[in-house]
Amino acid sequence: MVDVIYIEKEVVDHPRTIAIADRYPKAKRIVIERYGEIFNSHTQNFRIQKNNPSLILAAKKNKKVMPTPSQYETGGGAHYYFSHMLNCVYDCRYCFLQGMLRSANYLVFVNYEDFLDEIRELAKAHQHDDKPAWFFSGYDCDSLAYEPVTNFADYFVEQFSSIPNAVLELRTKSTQIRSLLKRPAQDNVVVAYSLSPERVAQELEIGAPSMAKRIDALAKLQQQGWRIGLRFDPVIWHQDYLNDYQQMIDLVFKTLDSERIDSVTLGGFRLPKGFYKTMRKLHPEHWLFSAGLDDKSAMVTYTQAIETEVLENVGQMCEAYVSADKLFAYSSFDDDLQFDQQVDQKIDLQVDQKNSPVGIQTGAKI
Amino acid sequence: MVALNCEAKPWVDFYGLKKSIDRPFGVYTKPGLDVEIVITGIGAPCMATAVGWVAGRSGSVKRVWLNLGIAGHLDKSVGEAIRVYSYIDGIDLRQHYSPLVAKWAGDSDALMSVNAPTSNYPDAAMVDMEGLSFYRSASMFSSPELVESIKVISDNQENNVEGLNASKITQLMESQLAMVNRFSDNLLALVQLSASAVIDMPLASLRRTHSQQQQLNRLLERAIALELEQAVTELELHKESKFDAVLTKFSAFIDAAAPSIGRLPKDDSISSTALRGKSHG
Repeated sequence: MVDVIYIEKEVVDHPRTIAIADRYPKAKRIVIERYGEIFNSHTQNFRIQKNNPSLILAAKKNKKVMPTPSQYETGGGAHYYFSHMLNCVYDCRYCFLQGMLRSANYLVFVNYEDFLDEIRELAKAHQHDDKPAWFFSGYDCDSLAYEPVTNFADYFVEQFSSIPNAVLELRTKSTQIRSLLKRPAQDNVVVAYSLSPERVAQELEIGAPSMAKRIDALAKLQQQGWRIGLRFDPVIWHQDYLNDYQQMIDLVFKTLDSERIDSVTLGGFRLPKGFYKTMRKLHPEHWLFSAGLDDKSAMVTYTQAIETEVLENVGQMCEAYVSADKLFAYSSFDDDLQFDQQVDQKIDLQVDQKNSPVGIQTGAKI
Repeated sequence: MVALNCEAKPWVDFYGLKKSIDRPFGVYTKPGLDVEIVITGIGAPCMATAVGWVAGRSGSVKRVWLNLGIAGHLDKSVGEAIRVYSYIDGIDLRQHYSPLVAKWAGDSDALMSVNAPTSNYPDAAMVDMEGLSFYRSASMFSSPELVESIKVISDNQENNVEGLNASKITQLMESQLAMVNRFSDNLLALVQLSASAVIDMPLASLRRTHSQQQQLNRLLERAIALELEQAVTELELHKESKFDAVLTKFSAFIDAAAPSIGRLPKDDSISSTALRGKSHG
């Protein structure tokens, strides 16, 4: 339920604005000049706003598709990410958005066509590459969770069918897969699910579907022929993590056909220091920000000993089911694979400047 | 925060408040009740001064701020209660949007604040004399999500301001008592305060620098987050002879402590205050 919808004057008559706003007939509609007037002022409080987020419908200006850090790979060639939406209907305690943004309002950019123009241009620039260009969605929001309102996947999946040298990866925790299941599986779309053991999900992924429901959605997609990816990221260190992750991984790989899984990625809990400080202030009482972390450098991560242990152990669990060439781990301590430092720079969304998402990290095959 | 006594009267009566301070601003309170009503006087300077004075008196106490009062509007019905979603400066016409988080059952609109009573109503906004000043000032002391204004329409193009008197204003405000009270409950719910946990640690005899004390405070905070209060007391840190040794031992213990998921309460509520460990000394 959304009580208030802010609409940029420029997109008031956009068909997508009208369709989205009509989903909330009782909401108060307020016309604004630019979304920066209401979104992300430095005095705002993410946690308080998360109680009752408003919806903002706006046009994305400037650059819409950004390159990911150069080392990133999950099997494709050039890598880019784009965000049609900022913020998420879920409330994951580890989510970097709480540290990056001051506002929890849902900001949806309705000018999908402009995103697509940029994607087409970039794909064209890579048309002679050996591998397809990879476009990620779902780092500044969940790709599918708001699908009934935004029709994001419905639109982009269809459009990607005419860009053969591009792959669209939808990162999600959502079971809103109706728009995918209603169409035949498409070779150049990967649906990648973030998964955590049930107890971790209950404790940290507030509002998100249970692990079992996510696995069920994955199974339905795979049965229909969709390419799927698994993201155990972040792996959360806790007393029973070995048992919890083993149970989950056994269930995942016994439910899914591991031969037809596109990629599996692992990563430890990590954040730019500035984001970490903000998030710790929002949840000073939460164990997540007090357990096993090294906060002495620009990135706050698990200590090297803990991160190495959890990634090795969970990686080995995965290796029992999936071949090594599909398995990628993101380490905070590999000198060649340092995080992109720009994520910790101060952001200014009001002028449409945007950082690399924390979720996109450097990757190393195990 | 209310400009006039006659605007505040329905709430003073409802809560059974008594005037506890007369100057520089009238303050109505009741022992044991976390509500106080401040009579600011008319106009932006009075409102800004009153907000600063209230904030200064209460130090770091977390509070929500609610401005109640009358406003004019071109065509809204007299007596209607309207939440303010943006504040417009009547001089430069700059608009300041307020985040709308607390649930409100009624309509909302922009509010233009001007320097003198007027019957020149803006096209698409209410008009008053204190709203912008209130929002700007109170937002310096609380998150803007906790700063709200409800205006009751007192005059419009057909019922001008000259017909107003104190009795009529009280009557208009009183008609919205229940709706405003429901809203103020919703607003207060946004600042649920957590009970502070404390670890009793008798370290008064050990000298420490300010930086060392900060390190200890952070370790205590982590210990409480990990629910290790009992285990920490069993470390017997007070037996260490130097503060460095306390920090080293405490830090090694906390760093190695893996959280136990499932034992811990699910956290899906807002906490606006940090759990603080307290060390004696």
